[in-house]
Amino acid sequence: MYKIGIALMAIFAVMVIPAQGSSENGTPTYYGMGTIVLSDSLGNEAFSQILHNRVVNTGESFVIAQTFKNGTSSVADNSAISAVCVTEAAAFTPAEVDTAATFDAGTTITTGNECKEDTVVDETPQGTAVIGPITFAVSNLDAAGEIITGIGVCQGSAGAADFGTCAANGLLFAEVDTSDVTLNTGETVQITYTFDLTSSGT
Amino acid sequence: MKKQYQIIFLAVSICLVIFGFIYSLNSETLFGKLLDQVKPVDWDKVFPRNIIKNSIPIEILENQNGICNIKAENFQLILKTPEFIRSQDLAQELDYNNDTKTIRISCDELPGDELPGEKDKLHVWIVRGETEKFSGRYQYFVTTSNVTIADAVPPQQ
Repeated sequence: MYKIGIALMAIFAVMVIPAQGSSENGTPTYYGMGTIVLSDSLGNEAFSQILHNRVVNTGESFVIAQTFKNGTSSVADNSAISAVCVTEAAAFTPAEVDTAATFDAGTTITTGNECKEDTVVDETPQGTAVIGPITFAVSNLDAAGEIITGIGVCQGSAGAADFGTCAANGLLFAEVDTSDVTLNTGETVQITYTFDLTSSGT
Repeated sequence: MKKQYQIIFLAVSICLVIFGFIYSLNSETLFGKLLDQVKPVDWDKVFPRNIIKNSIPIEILENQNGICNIKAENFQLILKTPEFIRSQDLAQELDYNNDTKTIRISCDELPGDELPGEKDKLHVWIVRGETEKFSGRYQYFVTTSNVTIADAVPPQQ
């Protein structure tokens, strides 16, 4: 009977061994998310997806520089983060070191309309910034049947017209790797980017 | 007397194991991590940025003795979700046929009258692979077609 008791004690010990690594409760609470909604030519929703983003190094530096007094002037409101660019890069994989230049290099779209901006970024509820929804159609790509593989979040401009590259207005803030979505004639993809700084109790 | 001590020792051991089991359910323990792979996902304990949400429209084609054959035209887009490491498990679980673009689900899991022609929405929530809790797990559920991806809430399992 003692042996059974000792075996149970051993099981108890295994059960209470703490796991390595920190709990999610200890991690920062801010995050960014991309939402894409593919609609068919009749406007019916065909696919929706919400995914986490990767804020790249240039995006992190931008937030710090805009927020704190560091000897560098903040950008004008028109140039703040407000645009979304789509990419057709094969095997698109966001990386922390990606820049507007590397994002543009992989995009492969030449039409010059693959970036669209939101003229007024929604900041409700408090602590969040929501770009979009911004609607992309075949006219933002080179041809029907092309495949959007991801999105980049970029700086805006004084005008609200579509533009060609993320680097045209400045830096790359974040990237989102989405499921590969084919855009055919008449179909649209609505993209929304949400950056959330809210935390419990604040 | 010795027998009595043995019984007390055994009883205390059993109590400790029960306590250890309950403790590991709510704490960051190695055993708790193992349990995370078999117990239902508690979505409230997964940080929002670690949840990938998908939804597609579906349509019931036929009800065969309680198993619904369902058209899921864009199911492949869900299977190709970045970081979805168990996509083949889902395809197998829903008996996905890539040629006919159909899946099979117990009709009891559908919200409507379960008749052919009924249009609903299939949601698949996925926990990213690098998370602390429920790493790589997924849950699918079906709602009426008017429920958006942002408003959908998975049922308790």
